[in-house]
Amino acid sequence: MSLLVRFLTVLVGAAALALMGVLVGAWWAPFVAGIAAGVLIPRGWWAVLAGAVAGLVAWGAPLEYAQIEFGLARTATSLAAIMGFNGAATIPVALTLVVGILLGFSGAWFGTVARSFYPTARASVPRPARPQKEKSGRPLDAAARRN
Amino acid sequence: MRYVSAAGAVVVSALVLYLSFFGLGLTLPPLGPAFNPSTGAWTMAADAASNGAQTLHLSGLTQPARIVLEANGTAHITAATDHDLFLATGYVHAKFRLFQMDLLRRQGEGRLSEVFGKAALDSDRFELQLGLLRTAQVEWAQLPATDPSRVALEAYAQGVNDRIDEAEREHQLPAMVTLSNYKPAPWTPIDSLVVKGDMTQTLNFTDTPLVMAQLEKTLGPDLTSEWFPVLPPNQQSPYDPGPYPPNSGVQKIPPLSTQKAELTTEQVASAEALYQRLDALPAGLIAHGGESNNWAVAPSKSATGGALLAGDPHLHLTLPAIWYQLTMDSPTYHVAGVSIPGTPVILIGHNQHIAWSLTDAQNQQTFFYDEQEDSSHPGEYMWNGQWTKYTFAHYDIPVAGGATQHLTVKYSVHGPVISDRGLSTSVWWAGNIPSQDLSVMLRIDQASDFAGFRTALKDWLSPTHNFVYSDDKGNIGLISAGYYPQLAQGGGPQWLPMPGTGENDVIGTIPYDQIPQVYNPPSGFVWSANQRQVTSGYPFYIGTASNFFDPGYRANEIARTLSQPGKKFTAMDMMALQTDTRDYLAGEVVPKLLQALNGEQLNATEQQARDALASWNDNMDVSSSAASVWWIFWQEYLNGTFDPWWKSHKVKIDRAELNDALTQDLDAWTLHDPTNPAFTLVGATQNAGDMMKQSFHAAVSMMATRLGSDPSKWTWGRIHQRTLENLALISGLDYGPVPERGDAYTPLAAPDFPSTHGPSWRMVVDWSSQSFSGVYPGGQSENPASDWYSDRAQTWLDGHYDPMLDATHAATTTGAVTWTLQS
Repeated sequence: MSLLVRFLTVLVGAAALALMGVLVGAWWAPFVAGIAAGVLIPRGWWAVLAGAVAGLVAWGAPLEYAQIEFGLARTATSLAAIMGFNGAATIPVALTLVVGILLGFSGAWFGTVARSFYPTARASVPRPARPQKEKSGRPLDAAARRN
Repeated sequence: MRYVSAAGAVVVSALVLYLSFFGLGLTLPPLGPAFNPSTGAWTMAADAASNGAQTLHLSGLTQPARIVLEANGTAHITAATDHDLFLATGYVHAKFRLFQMDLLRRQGEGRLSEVFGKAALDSDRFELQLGLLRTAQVEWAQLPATDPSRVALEAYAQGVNDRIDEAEREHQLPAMVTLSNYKPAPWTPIDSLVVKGDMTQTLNFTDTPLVMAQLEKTLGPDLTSEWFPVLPPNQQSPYDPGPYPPNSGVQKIPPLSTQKAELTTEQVASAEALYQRLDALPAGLIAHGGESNNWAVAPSKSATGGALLAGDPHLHLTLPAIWYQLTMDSPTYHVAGVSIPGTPVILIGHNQHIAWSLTDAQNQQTFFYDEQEDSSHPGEYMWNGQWTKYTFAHYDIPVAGGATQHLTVKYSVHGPVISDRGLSTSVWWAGNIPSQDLSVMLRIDQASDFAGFRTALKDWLSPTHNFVYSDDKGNIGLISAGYYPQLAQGGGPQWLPMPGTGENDVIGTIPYDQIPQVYNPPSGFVWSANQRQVTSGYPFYIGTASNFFDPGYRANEIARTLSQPGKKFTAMDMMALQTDTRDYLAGEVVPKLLQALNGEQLNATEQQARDALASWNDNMDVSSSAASVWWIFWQEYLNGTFDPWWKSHKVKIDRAELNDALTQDLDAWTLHDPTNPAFTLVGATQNAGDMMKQSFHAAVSMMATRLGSDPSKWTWGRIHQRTLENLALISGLDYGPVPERGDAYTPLAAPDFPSTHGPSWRMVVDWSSQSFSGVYPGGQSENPASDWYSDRAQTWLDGHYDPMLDATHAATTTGAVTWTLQS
């Protein structure tokens, strides 16, 4: 499985997991999904991107649904007023999305770091074929070499 | 590098999770649950849209019931049993007003700090000392098992709890609850009794004796008794003119001249300290004056041949409003009107045969006692010649973001000690007498004639209310029902703090047959507007003119209107009178002012202002510049007359707090005693005319400075506005400010700048056509995202009304939906 496919697969899975959690009140689900993404995606930056997107989807999709179904303008205005930002309806929207993103992002970052401390986990994750060099300078496939 | 990244991940994750789980104390709620788009505060959008036709399952319901919601949210509950009726009422109240209900019970039970932190601690301490919770607990304990109000309270609590469970299950708790990071505790019958206590407190727990004590010390007894007398100095229109039955059972008050106070320095210092403590409490905990109207017109003065009734209780105008409109139908109840969320009764409204409304009766129900203590008798006070032990109660007050506070409250026979400095001052307050007031309201809801109405009110205690009445047979009446404390007369006057040694204890109340009341009077109308209900011939003390009773201008204007010879009134006339902006005081004083200005040298601006007054109809309309000139002039007249006295006598009480009383004095002197010595303290001013001229010049000068030199642009709406304040004091959720007519003395009451107090509900009943109309400022829902949050505000501002329909008619109106309730 190529890295891109793996990235997309994990991203979709993480977003779905996070969304399902959020829908039943488990607001922290993007963090957990982010951890999974961090563990399963071998590239750190790709992993945190997946986590952040999963968080955005998990917290943004219900918001979008509510906007379509009920309209959120008055709710956003009210929340802004409660927060002390009269008339700035975008602030609660932005805050909500940022919280979702941060939960997914930090979870993925945490997962990436955790992964880096578990060699078996690292070893079990297929890496893209990358030419490596022996001391002599001859290209050698690392996996083939271990075998 | 790996360790740096790990450290970063841990720190960022910890920070994000901490803020998401715990927030930052009271300044930032836990971000996760608060802003979760599916279950957090955003669900107010779904909640606002959740009012369509539906079937609901309520635990405890014995038979199917129905709620019809009109397009404006007015609820019509129809149930097969009384139990189910009250259960459904509890449910619908909580569905639309849960946060408000929780706030009200927390306020009365001293539990605000638990949610809002130490900022609410003073309020909690005071409420636990005052004792609303203790009184409610005793009331509940004393309620017989078979009492209908017990059934009502229990069923109501079940309905509220059904909604709390549902809201938690469906993640639809009010946004303010979610953002405040707490869950509402189950509702209990005691909570309902506490909410009733809140209303009693805001209407009649007064600090007037503490104010009077300080005035006695600074202004002196002579000026105090002259300027703040028992009987009002200005013209009044008592609705019960007598003749009165002879005093039977309690001692008559001696003449004022024998009642000079002899307060010690220590007593005055304690009064001042306690006054300052009460003054620092949140608005609404201490009653200040009253602003409500009601009246009824007999068929003899009705154009339609049936009795008419109008009522508009004036309260703090909030969003959500204090009122929730509904009709309640069961085999034994058919009642419509407004209820207070948290209580299972309709407080103002009508049934099939009678209609009623309330104004505050304003008699003195709060008395302060300085307890005599001695260090050789710790924990005791002197009473009736004996050292008597205080009773103690202990409370824990949980504080959000802080340590739980412990409070010990001590009581004498008079009531709780509420002072925290100086002498131990206890307070006797009628609101602390365990009452059956909710039972009374249930009986009124079911009454079918005046006899039933009057019999029910015999048990009403507090707050004393003027209950106006009309029925489908053409009868009208007015009863100022409640407790009228009568004191033993041994020490000082009762409008001052008194010694607690027993000589001045409350010994009883005025017998029910002797309280102010009228039934089908020959005048053909009855009316109340917080004025003193009786003449000087009334044989009992009921309170002083200062604070306890309204100055009387609204009552005078209502009486003037209703007493027009030969005039026949319609429901439209009742509505016009409820929104009448004629200032009766201006009608009396402006001619005197114009007279004083005759021959006075006026500049062009002053001449324009004078001419505006000369052609003015005394109406405080938004577009009227004369209205502005009049009001500013009157304030300057008060300032010019009294401020020098305040300064020379070093009076610490804010003079503006006493403007109602001083206005009565100034009105009386201007009309009947223009050379009163009060005018002679400063400079060349020698009489009312001099002071009026000086005040007019000052008023015009100030207005020119602030509003420009063209008096035609000094419209009342530029300086006088109305705001409906959000209950949680979130200014962005207020309605207004918007230009508003009326002032403190017009039937359409609009005191203060901006005005946040006024007609909280307007109702007009015409029995001949069986037409009932009503409106209140705000809307049925506390949810600011709902169409029903403030949808009635403009209708109310415009002076319009909505029909009060029964359930059958309501179900056929455009936009009505039906909820089916099942167990």
